[in-house]
Amino acid sequence: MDESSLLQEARKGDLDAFNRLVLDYQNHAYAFAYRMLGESEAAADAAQQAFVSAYRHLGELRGENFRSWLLRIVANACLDELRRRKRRPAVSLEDLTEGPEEDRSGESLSILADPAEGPEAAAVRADLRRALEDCLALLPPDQRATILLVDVHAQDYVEAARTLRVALGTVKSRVARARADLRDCLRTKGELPPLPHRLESEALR
Amino acid sequence: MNSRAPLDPRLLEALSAYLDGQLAGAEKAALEERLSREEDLRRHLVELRAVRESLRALPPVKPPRALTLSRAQAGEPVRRFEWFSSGRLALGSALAALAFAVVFSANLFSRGITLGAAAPMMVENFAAPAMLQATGPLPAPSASGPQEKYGGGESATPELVSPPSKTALDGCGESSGPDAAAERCGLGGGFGDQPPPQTFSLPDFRTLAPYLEFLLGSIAVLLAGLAIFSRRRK
Repeated sequence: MDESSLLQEARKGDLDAFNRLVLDYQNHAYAFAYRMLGESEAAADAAQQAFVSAYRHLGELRGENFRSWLLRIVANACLDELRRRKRRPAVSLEDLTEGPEEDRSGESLSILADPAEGPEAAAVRADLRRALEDCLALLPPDQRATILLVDVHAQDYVEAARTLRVALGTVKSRVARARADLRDCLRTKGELPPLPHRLESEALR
Repeated sequence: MNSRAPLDPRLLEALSAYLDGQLAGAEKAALEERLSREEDLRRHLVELRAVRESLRALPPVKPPRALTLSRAQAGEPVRRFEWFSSGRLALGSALAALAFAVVFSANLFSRGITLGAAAPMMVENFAAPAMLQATGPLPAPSASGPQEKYGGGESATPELVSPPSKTALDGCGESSGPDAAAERCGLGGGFGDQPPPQTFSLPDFRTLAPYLEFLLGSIAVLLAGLAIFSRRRK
């Protein structure tokens, strides 16, 4: 059954059909929530809450792409959660930036490693990933949501603007600001990827 | 090797948009012209590209558990509306119907009493002002006791009210003395004393009853309709 048929059945109250959509999109929703919140369980909760909300409001999805619509709900759930934390901080910034223990385990990191690359290269990649996640956690939530949509979830500016319900210019400036901040952060951690030797050809590529 | 000078925010935006292929026309041409001349600007562009590539290369992460929804979770949305579930609505409707039946019966019963045995009492009490007018001004309280006070009235009472309530008043005042008759006939204490409470509460209820019946009946029907609607939606 294709996505539109599943959506149609889910709209009629078929939970099994909706759960098939959940299985298709759960990695996507969770990945966004995880990068936004920096905690595995909180991200799973936010993503699942977003699915509950999506199931309840399926009738409001008219003509829009389900993936974008879902990401909007996840983004809103995460931004709400971050606002709630700001009002009643229960997690220290250190906890937030360090991320869950399980994601730092060798097992988790082994997923990243290319089987062809040696242990040194894998370690470098793991360091860069950690540094990047730490730097992402330091971005303002609005910027973080925008850069994740554009650079991680491959949305174009128009789509990201629609997802976050902001102006196109806002997306443009947030993406630029976030990239510059990430660059500065990675540089302080010594993790800015090495520049290519031939700047001219790279720059105009 | 790294770019040091911070970029003007507008230039930074243009550079980032250029990286994403979001610049066109004159703006794009102007930026490319500057890039060909300014090495520092090229460094910025390369660094921004490196950041973008690092983000794109972030590994996929998987949720610690399946995020599929259970029936209970899918039903949670309407926790606020659980008060209005079909079961509760049906129960509410049944209770309203029961209350309607009670009020309706009580109303019928009260009317039954009024038209039957209670009728003479009512008539006597409502007849009191007319009787007082007929007997003329009362004697001064200081001149006589309570029994004497309405002495003239007692003999007049059966005559005044006798047409509608002759049977009910049979035995009042004739075989026994006037006082005993007055007591049996509910006239003890005279017209100036507190009337029996049901005399005035019954008309109040009767006035209210049709409204109550209408209200309860409407609630019962409305809740029953909502219960059926809610069940169908499920």
